[in-house]
Amino acid sequence: MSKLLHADNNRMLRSRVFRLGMASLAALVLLTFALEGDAGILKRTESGFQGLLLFLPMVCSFIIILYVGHEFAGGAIRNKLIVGHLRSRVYTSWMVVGIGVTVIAMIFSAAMLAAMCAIDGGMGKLAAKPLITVWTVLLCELLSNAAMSLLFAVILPGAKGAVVSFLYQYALLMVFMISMDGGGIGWIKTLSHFFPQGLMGVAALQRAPEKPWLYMLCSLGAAVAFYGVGMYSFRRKDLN
Amino acid sequence: MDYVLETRGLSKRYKHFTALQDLSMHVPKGAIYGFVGRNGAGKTTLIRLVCGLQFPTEGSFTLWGTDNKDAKINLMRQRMGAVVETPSLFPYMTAKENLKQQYRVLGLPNFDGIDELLALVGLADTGKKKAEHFSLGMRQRLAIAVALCGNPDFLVLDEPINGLDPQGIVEIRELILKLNRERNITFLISSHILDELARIATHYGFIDRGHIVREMSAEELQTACRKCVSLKVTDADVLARELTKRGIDYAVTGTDTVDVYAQPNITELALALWNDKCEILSCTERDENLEGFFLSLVGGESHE
Repeated sequence: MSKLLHADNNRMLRSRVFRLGMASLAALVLLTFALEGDAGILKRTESGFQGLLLFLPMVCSFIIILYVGHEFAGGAIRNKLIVGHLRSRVYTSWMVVGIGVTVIAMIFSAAMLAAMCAIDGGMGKLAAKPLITVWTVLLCELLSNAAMSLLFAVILPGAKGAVVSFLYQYALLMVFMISMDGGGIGWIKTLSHFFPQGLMGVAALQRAPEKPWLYMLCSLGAAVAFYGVGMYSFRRKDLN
Repeated sequence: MDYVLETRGLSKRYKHFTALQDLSMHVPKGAIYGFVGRNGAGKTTLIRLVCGLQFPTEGSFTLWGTDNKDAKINLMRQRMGAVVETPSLFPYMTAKENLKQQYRVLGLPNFDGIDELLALVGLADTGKKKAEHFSLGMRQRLAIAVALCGNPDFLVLDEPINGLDPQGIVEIRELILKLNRERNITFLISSHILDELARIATHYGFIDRGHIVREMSAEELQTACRKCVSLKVTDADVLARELTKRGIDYAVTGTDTVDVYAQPNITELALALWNDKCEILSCTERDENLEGFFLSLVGGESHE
């Protein structure tokens, strides 16, 4: 397992898709700040945060799906299986790398946001407690997103999976936002606890969603379920 | 005999298609095993099963005596390398980076031997050129180098010379022979370019419609393909006695047929046989190559 992790981590850190993903997140934070040029620092930081809520799951998904897709497309996955690595370990290694990417992307985005806020002298105006709660909930939701992305990567390797994942996430976003506008439809409201898109409209930089622990529990549960389904699917899959 | 790979009644069925049916084959240690069959005969499917990329529907196989259902099969797989269909590479990496990546996958403690491997496959001077810019022959050689990481004892190559130019074909052939002789690596090579396979293989397995039609050594094949005069007579024993008396090499292939590996004086032979009340019913000259032998085994019609 450690061999695979070493190989996968190394490849991820050197991959173009990872660097492009990080660059796009940086560009996004800068853009949201620039678009809210005349607003106060807190409003501009909030806009940046909302932008991240929207794009962070998508960017992480793209990175994970395309990273894994490269192994399928180039056939390099064979080089792991031929030399005796178990499929369960190969999948788990991808999962760990996917979690790593998610954590790095989140820390990187938070640092960018903090840096922009600090330049404008707004850091002192932010309360620490809701900030920590919100980012912790977001991290849990992003872990569920990472597990879901890996499932997509295995079922539909490559660009096809990335497109389907984007459409899926966009559809989720629309359903949750439309539902929340009308005060929230019961089962959709429940469903929103499992996906990062469900935080749109209920979380802000200084406002945690109601019952944050429920969000964390649901998203971590979803992450485990996605991981299980993905692993099952990959272990049974005939590869070319 | 020690076998590196042995399959027993191996079958692979997809939804509406049977790719392999009750296939049994034996790859001896140290051999270059030519796996011969038409497109769609099941060569690549078998290789995928052996490499762990797909799972058999029925039957089993062993690698160095370890059954595929045994947990230790993964340890045995560490002793093999393979190039299945297209070269399995990261196109955006250089040749050296691709090898380093495989070293990491194998958990090798350092990168010693990479330069040696690159030199072995003739890619030592590719520098910073990415694999995506390599020619097909270079990619094929790099894929073999990746498969050679960790010093495997068994190398599986699926159509290794497909699409290569004549120079590339010669290079791959010489590389295979060198590895077999110097490192005693056993090879399983699937191909439908029979003339090329005939230059290197020590053993053959002929596959058709998912079955092994015949397995034989290169010597047996050579005998089967020797230029000969096939005589059909009323009494093969009489003919055999006459040929032995004259010191002529022959093989009795049936109750009434004998293959004679020389150009006998037919008139003298016919007279001698006539004295023993044996008639020659027909006389056919045969000159088969591997291609002809293969076609005679599987029939000439296409399956596609």
